[in-house]
Amino acid sequence: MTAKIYGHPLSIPTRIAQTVAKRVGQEAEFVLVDVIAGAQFEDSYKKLNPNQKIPLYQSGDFTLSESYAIAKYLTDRGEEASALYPREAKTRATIDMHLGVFNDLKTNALQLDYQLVINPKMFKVDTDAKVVAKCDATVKKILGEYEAHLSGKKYILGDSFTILDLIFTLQLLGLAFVSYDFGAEFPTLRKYYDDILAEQADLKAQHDEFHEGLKALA
Amino acid sequence: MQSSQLTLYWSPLSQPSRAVHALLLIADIPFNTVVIDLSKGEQRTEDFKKINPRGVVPAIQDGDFTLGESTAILKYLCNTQPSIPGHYWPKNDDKRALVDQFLEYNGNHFRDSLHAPYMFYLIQKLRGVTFEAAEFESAMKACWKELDTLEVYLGQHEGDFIVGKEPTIADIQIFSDFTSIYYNKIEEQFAENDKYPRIKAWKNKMLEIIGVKKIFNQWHDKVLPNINGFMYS
Repeated sequence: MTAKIYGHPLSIPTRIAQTVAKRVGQEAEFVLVDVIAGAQFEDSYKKLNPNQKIPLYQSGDFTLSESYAIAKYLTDRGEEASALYPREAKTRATIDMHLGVFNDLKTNALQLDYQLVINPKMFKVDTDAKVVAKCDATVKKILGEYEAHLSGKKYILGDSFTILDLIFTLQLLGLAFVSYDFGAEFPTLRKYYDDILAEQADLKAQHDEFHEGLKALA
Repeated sequence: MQSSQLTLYWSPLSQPSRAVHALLLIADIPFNTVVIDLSKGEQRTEDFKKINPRGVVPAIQDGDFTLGESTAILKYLCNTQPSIPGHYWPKNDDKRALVDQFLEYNGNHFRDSLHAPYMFYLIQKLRGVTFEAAEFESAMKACWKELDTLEVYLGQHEGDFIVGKEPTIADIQIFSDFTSIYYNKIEEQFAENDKYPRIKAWKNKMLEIIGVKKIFNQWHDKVLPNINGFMYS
């Protein structure tokens, strides 16, 4: 039975799950959950994921939510596994540490997506300036940390491309949803992003697809 | 002189710090603790930033290796300390992924919703900013909703714990954040509410784990009264 990934094309966490799945030979069928229309709140989806979030990975009776958990699971099961997410304890722990920080980036960026675009555009709900200020500050703080970290480095761990670069690149891509040009404030991140896209065809494809999708939203 | 023992840099005020400390007690290995006094800004000192450049707790030092982010630390300890029972971080891919899912769920959703309500009081006290009742109510509602979700999650797999019959590092993390109900002063309401039989049973099972119980009791008896006294005065 084919595995499935439930999600939405405008959801960066969905794209993270899909990109990893494809890269490690664990491709899954895409099932659209129209989160703009609130489909994640329907009982049928709630049965699959009590947390009512996307993406969700399903293979037979096994379901798994949370994009980073899905990404790591598929990587450990798939091909090209060890290079992306090495099993050596200290390397893996360092990767897990960075992913912990990226979680903060992800959740705050998502709040900005809702506050600045989804709420006003689709639900005619006002933006909460306090929430925006708080999330914006956190996003910029983290970007600033990686601006410094990536100085003189090709990849987050230094010499090799890992799941960190795949995920961080897609998180940076996601900032386009709120029309935020991170390169203006963070030139090292801009160079990092452009270099990764020039080198990693699947991430370039994600960039192009996502931007196409954003045009349709405008 | 650097000790050969592992060192935990932590604050009893920090839920993720308490989770790591509990696991270290479960590991039953010798380790040093250094309390980072958050109220004095000790997390921002140059010395501590050598351990964790992000200036947050918890962090560990294991020989030359330093590590931050509680979830990464919990996994690293499970991977490197043979005295920690294997069920805390299962080797089976599917089971491990579920534990990871719940660690992510805790970090991304559960933790924030459980501590949002009391943050209004804390910030009000620290910065003299009065909060809007409507915002607080909304945060409290989100907190209860997350407890509803946890109740459902605890029913998904057979066994007393979140992925099955044995405790995992996800249970340890979630339990630490669950105790924010005491900061939110809703522990009595929670106890009297009959909507949460699974969470109540799980809480009791968690407190049977000696390391978890010790950290909970220390915090509950020594730290909580001071914080609540401060926030709600």
